[in-house]
Amino acid sequence: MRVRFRKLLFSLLVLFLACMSSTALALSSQRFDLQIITADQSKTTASIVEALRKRFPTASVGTQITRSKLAGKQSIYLAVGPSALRYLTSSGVVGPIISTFTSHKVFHSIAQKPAGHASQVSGIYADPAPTQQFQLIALIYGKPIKIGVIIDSDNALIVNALRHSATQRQAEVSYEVLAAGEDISHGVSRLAEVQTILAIPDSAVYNGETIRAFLISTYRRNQAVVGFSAAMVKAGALATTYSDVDDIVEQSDEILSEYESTGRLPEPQFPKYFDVVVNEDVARSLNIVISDQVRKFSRKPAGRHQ
Amino acid sequence: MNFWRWKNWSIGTRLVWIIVVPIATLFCMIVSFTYFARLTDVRADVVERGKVVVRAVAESSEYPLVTGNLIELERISRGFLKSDGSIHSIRVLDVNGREIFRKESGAASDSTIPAATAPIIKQVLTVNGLGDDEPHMTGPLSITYASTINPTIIGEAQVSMSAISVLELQKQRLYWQSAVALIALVASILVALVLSNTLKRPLAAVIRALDTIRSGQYEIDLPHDSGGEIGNLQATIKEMSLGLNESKQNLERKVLERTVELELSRNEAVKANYEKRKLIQKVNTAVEDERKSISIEIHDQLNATLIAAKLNSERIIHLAELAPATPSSAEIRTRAQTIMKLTLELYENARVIVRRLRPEVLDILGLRGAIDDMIFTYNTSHPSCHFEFKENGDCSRLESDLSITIFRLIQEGLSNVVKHANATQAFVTLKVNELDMQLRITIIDNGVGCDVAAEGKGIGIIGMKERIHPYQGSFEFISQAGKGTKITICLPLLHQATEIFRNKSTPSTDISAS
Repeated sequence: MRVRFRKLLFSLLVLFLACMSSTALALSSQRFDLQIITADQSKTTASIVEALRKRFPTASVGTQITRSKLAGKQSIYLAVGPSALRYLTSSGVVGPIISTFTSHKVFHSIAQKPAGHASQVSGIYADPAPTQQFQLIALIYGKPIKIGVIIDSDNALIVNALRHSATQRQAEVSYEVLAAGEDISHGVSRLAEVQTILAIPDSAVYNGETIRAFLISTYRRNQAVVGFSAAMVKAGALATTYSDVDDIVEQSDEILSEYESTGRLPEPQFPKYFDVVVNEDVARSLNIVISDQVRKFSRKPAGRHQ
Repeated sequence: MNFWRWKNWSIGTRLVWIIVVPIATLFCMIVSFTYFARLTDVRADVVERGKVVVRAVAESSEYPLVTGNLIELERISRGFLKSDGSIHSIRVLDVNGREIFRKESGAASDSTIPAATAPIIKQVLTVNGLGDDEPHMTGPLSITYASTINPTIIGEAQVSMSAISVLELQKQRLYWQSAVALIALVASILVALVLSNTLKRPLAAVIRALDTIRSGQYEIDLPHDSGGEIGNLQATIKEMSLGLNESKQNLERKVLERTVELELSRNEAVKANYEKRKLIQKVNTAVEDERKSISIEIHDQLNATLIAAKLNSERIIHLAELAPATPSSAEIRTRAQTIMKLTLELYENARVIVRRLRPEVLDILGLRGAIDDMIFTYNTSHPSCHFEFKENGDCSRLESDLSITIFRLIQEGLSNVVKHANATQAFVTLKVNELDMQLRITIIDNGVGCDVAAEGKGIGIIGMKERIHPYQGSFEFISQAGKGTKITICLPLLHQATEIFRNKSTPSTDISAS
């Protein structure tokens, strides 16, 4: 009986939160004119737009900004991808801009442009949160290990976030900065002492031509790679946390709600909601035992489960 | 040579061929097909393996080709050569066709199999590096290799394969398989021969039974020890033999009954024939006796009277000459002369009748003289034909009855010549051969001849045969139209022949002489 009662209470709570969310959405849709800006018609963009339409049915979707048709309502722009963000920041729009599906490095490279709207731009980085990544590494190994990070010289901003998260997790992290044009294999060679390399999204470091050689080199050195996307794990990395479209949409909704309640955008942030993907073959090859705790490591908004 | 005349083969030989030919043909075809199919399969397999190996070499050669780390390539190639003995060589060329690496095995070169080639492609993963353009996704998206869309060729791998060692191995296996198949073939043939005996034996028994039936023996010993069609055949032949045996016995019984009936009929016929001939003989004897008595009467009474009349006519003529010459005396003399003349003619005619009724010349002149007299008479009375008689041997000692028979036979023969032959010459020969105790009469003419079959039933011929029969002689009649006729009669000179005929009280079973 007690268990049933708890289930009933939990169901009522979920129903209450859903009603509150719908109410907030209704209010927001009434107070703001949400414009979803995209830059291409790719399949990825289409899937993202479909999820956003589902969550924000009154929002407009387009590749360009439009004048608000609702009198007295402020426009809020949600950029899908770096190109859309670049367009918005360069278009001189007055309203707040929420960036989605843009990596930390690219976001800051665009947001730092002298457009004068820095205070109006926020968003959700596409990168997995460093905190979650360090937490995942800790769960995998179950003991303190040496972690290596290879970054490009243009991506110094991420180091601060990494250092902050590493300090929180008390992880020993070695940072290897590649010079312009330097081969990644050199960086790997210099990180021979670490057990795991944490890959940070940076197309200058990790791209189609380098990832394969990078993964093979680390495997031969018996080093695991914690990647930055599920695709990279599938390509040969050991594991990663990742956020799907719904996770990002949910977090976007939360940012909008916060803006509605506070009148200002929060700071750019890493994804809050995530799942974990593990390449069992790589784990077996590296003799790493993956526990169920690792596989179940995730975070989802209340009322949504895997 | 008889062996190749297959239509004459026995059942056993046919069965052996029926068994051996299909099995041997099948064996040869299967072995040949297997051999050539294996050759083809081996070559195709080697070619396919070459394609697989060269793809693997190409996939593995990207890193060594880019980095120049040939030790890695050496290690990979050694592994391939160790795992597949049909690889002859592995070559890696750069994009300009320059040979970068070469590794050869000890396998012999095989020019019949072309070298497998595969481009070495630069492998590029399409993992989203979160660049500057598309939305950055960390979720589970599939990955592909950009090389499949826009490949970048950085070299070529070549693998030369050799099927020689594999073919040798396959040949060895084929030899062994062929040997096993040959043993199986021989075993099959032996088993088939043993089994064929189960068919051959009952068939041979059936054939023996049929031979026995064909030879007329319907009581056969055919065991019914098989089933199926052979068993049915055995049962059928057994039933058939029983039926034939029963039919044969019925037929033999009927034949026996019929034979008895025929025997009785024949005996009766022989008896009737004997009696008929006896009657004819008696009739002939009676005729001859009556002729003799008539001729004696004519000779003794009529001729004496005619002589007396003649003498009286001569007296009347003499008296008339003595009387005065008057018309009456002249008439008397003339009349008397006429009477004397008629009397003489009547006397001559009576002599002829007497001669014909009873050739007294037989008694006076003997058979030779009688025949000469008859020939003379025929020559006289039938001047258009010349009759001639020759005797060879002594016929004077023949018995009277036989002489009369011979005389009558010649008389009947010449009578036929005169009546039917229209001949100009006729020859009669009488030959007595005392050594052989046989008498031969030959009558030949040059007349028109006749159809023997048509004339065989003439009364004259029948009468001649009836005269011959009591003497158990033979009669031969040869004639052709336009070529005359020849009659040959042989009579045995056994004096007891007549006695046998006369004294025989029971009918003879030998009727061939008739």
